Formats: sequence, C-alpha cells, structure tokens
Amino acid sequence: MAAGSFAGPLGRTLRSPRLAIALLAAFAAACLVGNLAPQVGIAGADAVAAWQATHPGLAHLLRLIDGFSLFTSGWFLVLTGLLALSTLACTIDQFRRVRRSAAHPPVGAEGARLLPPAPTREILLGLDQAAAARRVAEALRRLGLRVRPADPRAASAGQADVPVLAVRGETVGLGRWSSPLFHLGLVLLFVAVIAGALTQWSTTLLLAEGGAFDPAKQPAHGDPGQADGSRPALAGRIPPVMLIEHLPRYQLKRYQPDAASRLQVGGRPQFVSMGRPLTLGRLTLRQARRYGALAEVVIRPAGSPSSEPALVRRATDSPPPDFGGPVERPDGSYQAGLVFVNQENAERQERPLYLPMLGGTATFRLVPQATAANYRLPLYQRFQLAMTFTPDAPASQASGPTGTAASPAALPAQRLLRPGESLSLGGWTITFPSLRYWTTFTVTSTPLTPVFFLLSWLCIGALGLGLFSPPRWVEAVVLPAPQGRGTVLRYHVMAGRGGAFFAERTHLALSRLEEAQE
Amino acid sequence: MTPLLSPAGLVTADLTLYWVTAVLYAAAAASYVLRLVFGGDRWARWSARATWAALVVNTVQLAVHWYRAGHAPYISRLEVVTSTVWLIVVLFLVVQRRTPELAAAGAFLLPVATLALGFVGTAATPAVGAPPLSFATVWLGIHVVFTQLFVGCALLAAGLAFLGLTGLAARPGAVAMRVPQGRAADDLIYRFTAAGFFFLTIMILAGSIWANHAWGRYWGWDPIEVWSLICWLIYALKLHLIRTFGWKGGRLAWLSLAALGVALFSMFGVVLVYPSIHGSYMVK
Repeated sequence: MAAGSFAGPLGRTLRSPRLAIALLAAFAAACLVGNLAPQVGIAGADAVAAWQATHPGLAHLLRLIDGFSLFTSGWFLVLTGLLALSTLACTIDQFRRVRRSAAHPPVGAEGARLLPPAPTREILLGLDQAAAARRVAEALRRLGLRVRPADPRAASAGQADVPVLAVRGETVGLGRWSSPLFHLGLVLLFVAVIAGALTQWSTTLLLAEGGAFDPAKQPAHGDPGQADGSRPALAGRIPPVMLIEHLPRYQLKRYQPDAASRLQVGGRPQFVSMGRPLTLGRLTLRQARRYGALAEVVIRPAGSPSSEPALVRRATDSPPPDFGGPVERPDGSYQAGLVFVNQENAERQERPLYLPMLGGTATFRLVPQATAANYRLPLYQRFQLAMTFTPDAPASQASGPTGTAASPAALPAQRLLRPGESLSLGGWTITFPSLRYWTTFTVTSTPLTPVFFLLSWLCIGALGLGLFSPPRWVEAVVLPAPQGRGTVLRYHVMAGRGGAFFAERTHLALSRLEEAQE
Repeated sequence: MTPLLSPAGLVTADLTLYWVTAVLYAAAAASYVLRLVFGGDRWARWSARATWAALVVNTVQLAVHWYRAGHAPYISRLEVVTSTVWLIVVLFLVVQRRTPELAAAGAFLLPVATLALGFVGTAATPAVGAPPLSFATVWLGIHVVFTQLFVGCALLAAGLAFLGLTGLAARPGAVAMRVPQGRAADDLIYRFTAAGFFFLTIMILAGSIWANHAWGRYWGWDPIEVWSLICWLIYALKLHLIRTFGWKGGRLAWLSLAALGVALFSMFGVVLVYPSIHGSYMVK
C-alpha cells in the first residue's frame, strides 16, 4: 500500500480501531449464527432438511442469509476479506509507530505519550548520593530490570544547576514488536490459506485387497476408482499404490471404523492407518475410510468335490458388487455375495438372502471373533459369519439339483462359520471362504504446509514476545535533599496497560529502601 | 474382598480418590473464602494445606486412572475435568508463589474446580474409552495441555474480576492479603487475558495440525472448531478493548466473566450440545 493511499480516507477508515473491533465482533457473531443450524457442507443435506422440518421459523430466517452454507456464502467471505484488510492496515500503522519509537527512544514526558506513567514519587533517603544510587540500582536489578546510567533530564527539569545521579531500569523491550509481528503473521497466514487452497490438489483411490493403482496406466472401463475425471493427471505425480492387506485388528470408535492397511507405495512396503497418514515428500497418503466388507458364500450340492479356488482379487474390483441373490456358476454351484458397509454396521446389520434351492431365507451377520485383548482395547483378528435359516411355509419344497429340500427339523437355530468352514443344510453345503475389503485412500498435495508452520510460529513467537518482554522502564534520579540532610530519590514508572502491577511492585521495592534506613 | 490391583479394585480406588479430591478441594475453597473475609494467619495456613493435600490426592488419582485406562487422561469427561483441575491448581500455586497477592483468586478458582468435579462426578460414568490410533500424536498432548492452561488463565482473570465486582477485594482479609484492586487488578486481568490468548492460539494451531493427521484437513468448521474460533475472537476483542479503548473497572470485570463463560462452553459444553466429531470420542 502506497504511503499516500494509506494516509487517505480509505486508509484511515481501514486502520481505525473502531472498525477493527466492529469487524471482530461481526465475525464472531457470524460464526455463532453458523453454529445455530447444521451446515450442508458439514452435516449433510439430509441433516439440514431434518433440522429445517423441526425449526420452520428459524429455518426461514436462516435461508435469507444463506445460513445453511454460511461459511462459504458470499457475505461471509466479504466479511473475512474486510477483516484481513483492516488487520493489514493496522499492521502497517503499528510498524510505523514502533519503528519511530525504536529510532528515538522516549525519555520522560516523551515516553509518557506512549506509555502513561504512574505519578512521580519521592522518597527521602539518609544516604549520600552515590550510595543511594547504588541501592536504587540494586533494587531495580532485583526486579529483573536491566539497569544503566540514564539521562538526568527526565527528572531534573527546572533544577539544571543541581547535581543529580540518574539510573534507568528497563526490560529488554522487544515486546513493542509483539503486536505488529503478530498481526503481520495473521495477515500472511490469511494469504497463505488462499494460496494453499489454489495450489493444493487431492485425489482418491478406491482399492480392493490385493488391488493396485498404477498412475501410468489408462483407467479401465467400469473402474470408478481410477476413472475419476475430476482428478489431475497423476502420471509422475504419485507413485503406484498397492493394497496388500487390511489388518482389521483394532476395534475403534466411530469415525475410526477400522484402521490399518499394509501397502506397497512405489515398490516399498508401508503401513497406513486412520489418523496415521503416510508422508511421501509433498504428498500425504491417508486411509480415508473402509468402504465395505464382502462376505461370499458358495452353495453346492452335498458331497460334490470342493474345487473352490482362493478368492480372485482384482485391482478393478470396486466398488464391491452386491449379488442380490445367488448366482449359478458353470460347475453347478451357487455363489452369493453379502456386502457389509463397514465394521460398525456389520455388527448391527443383518443381510437376508433368499435361497430358492433350500426353500427358505438365510440371514447372515458378521460377528467379530476376539482373540486377544490389550488393556481395554480388544483386538480382533477375523470375522465369523453367523447364519440363521428360516424355511418357507411347509408347502414350499423347493428342490435343488439333488432333489433334496432343507428339512426345518434338521436346521440349527444359528450357525457360526469361521473363514473356510462349511455347514450342511438339507442336501446342500454352504461354505464361507473369507472376507474381502475395499478402502478409499486420499492422496493430497499441500505444498504450502511448511509456510503454514512458519507463519504459525511467527504468530506464537510474536505473542510470546509481548508476554515475556513487555516494554517497561523505571526512571530514577537521586538529588541532594533541600536541607542538605541525605538525598531525595525521585522516580517514575513507565508501563502501559498491563504494567500497573509492575508499578506497584516497583513502589514496594523502592519504599523498602526508606523502611530499611528506619 | 476385591484385590486392589484387580480391575474392580482399581475402579473403586479411582472413584474413592476422586471423591476425596473433590472433598479436599471443597475444604480448600471454603478456607480461601474464610481467609478472604476474615483474614488471619490461621486461615492462610489452612487454605494452603488443604490445597496442597487436594493436589497430592488429585495427582495420585490421576496416576491410578492413567494406569487403569492405559492412556493419558483426556478421553472421557471425567478424565478431562480432573486433569484440567489438576493443571489449573498447579498453575495457581505457581503464580501464587511468584505473586502471593494472587492467593485471593483461590476464593473463586477453587469453588469452580469443586463444582466441576462434583457435577462431572455425579453425571459421568467411570468408564474408560479406547483411544483411536489418531490419538497417538504429540500434537494432541500439546493441544490438551494448552487448552487447560488457557482455561486456568481465563479462570484467574475472571477470579480477579469477581473479587472486584462483589466487593470481596475490599474485605479486611483481602486488604491484609494485599489483594490487587483498581488499576492493579485491571492490569493483572489484562496480563492473564494476554497469557490465555497466547495459550489459546497455540491450542488452536496444535489442534489444527492434529485434525490434519486425524481427518485430513486443518480446519473443517466443525462446531467445536467454530466455538474455539469464537472464543479466540472474544479474547482478541477483549485485548483490543483494554489496550485501545482503555476498558477497566466494572466493564472489564463483566467482560472477563462473560469471556470465561464463552471459554468454558467452548471447551466443555459444545460436545454436550452439538453433534461434533470431537465428542464422538468421549465416553459420556
């Protein structure tokens, strides 16, 4: 900002403390309004609609001010921009004033214009001048002040012919830079946030266990995980990523439905979990959420040889298929897939599946199998599949290839299947090979993160300067007493807001000199 | 009889120590109020003894709880309140040692601590939550400790304001204790506000770094984040009103108490009122 424009009406308005206060209050009020109701971008449209249905009056008012997406609304952004401009103008103003005061350290009355002083006080000391000055210097040092000989002009005005000894005790005084540096840090942080939003990019990878993503390859048709048109060209920007396996060990709280994945990133083995991102130079790879678990069951006539191969895991197996019903395979067996959205749901949700060859409905549920516990944190190594079979009415006697229907009397109420186990039901065998998982990973590039860190430290450091090194000083002169008996100590404390307590401690320390001689 | 180191024995020991802590803090609070009103060395001695005794028991209780839970005390409401009270009392004793005149603030601070312990002790369960993996970061520790330091500074500032507003600072006991009044009190309120603002800023920055680790973004306008920002803005506003507009006396005292209300709601109340990603971890 040029000096001329800064001094103009716009500059004066922008650096006005009243405007700064008004903008701070308005910004706080806007944030408060933004918390009255759920926000579309945070709680989701459904939550907003539900809230609007229960609060029709307030919802109408909030709609007028874009209150359901307030933090991205135009007026909120304008308010934020105005606050940033006002901060910038105040920062420039503060730097000018501090530079002036640093170039010409204030003395006596000049200092009073910057820092309102406590009234000048006088104490009569029964010591000679040199001893009194020494005692004063010691007392000031005990207060943690840096003491040096001072300009006697401060307190000898009108008595130029009187010989005086003057000392000045002061704090280091870097604190005067605190406020301008802090405000500068805030302005730069604001600029960095905007620049960061413009320069960062992110992409998502949806991978099945055993699947891989290679940025150099063209996305395959029907592979939503790799055909996301909104992503930037990734070749050369991210390394190939392969999801080796999930480690579903941790039974965690909400938002952390499952944790750990073993990956191969750029050919190197890595481990990533919810809340423990993987940093790869300027890239961050984060496990966003577990997409789902697929339990597959294979139903074949009892006694037929098991030729079930290991699960075929393909890179493009996403999102997980939901078979809807059993699918007949060329070998005469049936395959059924049951999708559980995530672990938390899996523990609650049941998946019914009508099995016509058995003449009834099998209801499946995932059950975690605890194998160990670490303190109060249970570890689960694998899941079992619980199955409950409900036959149709007795008239329903569907027959499979062997012509055998499930006999209700022979059915267990509930059976648990460990991965790889089978159970017999009527003339059929139901096998649960294992589970498959899909996971979303996000890869984010935030090149300005080091800048954010630096600016954050600037803000914190500047505030620390103000706290630990406030600008305060004591000016004291020792004059001969009028009657020639002892000396007079005349002093005043220069301390701004936050310095009155310091002044009291100074008065206490110096008045002890008087008490000591009594 | 239940062995002490069995899970049930640890729960019993934890809860017993918790309530002993609360009772000792209540005794300390009462002795600080009596010291302020009547003055005298006897109450001064009792207030110091009771506070130190409560702090020792509080420390043991936290250690037992930490051992029982297997993680630092910052997950459940019970843990958050006990560790906050512990740190605030430590801060109070450190500040009091440096400036003995501030002992009077104990007449506000310790009753608040006692009420918080009593309220949470009767409303919360002694259950311990399992910490998610995202909690295993140093940034969370920084975030929590600076939150507690901020609350401590806000309470001390509000305590001085309360003493001035109620006239307690002019009672004979307070005069004997050289309780800061007038401009000296305003000055201390300003200094505690500035220190609190410093801690609050570090808390928000550390929290945003942790949020990026845990959820993949530095800032997400989650209710507790917005309330922290509101709190930061209120304290920034307060500092500007003191420095630039010279607010002091009654106006400053009322503003300090209002700011404390916002701070306490932001730190402890929001998770009870709003569905927040932060609150999902808490064992109620």
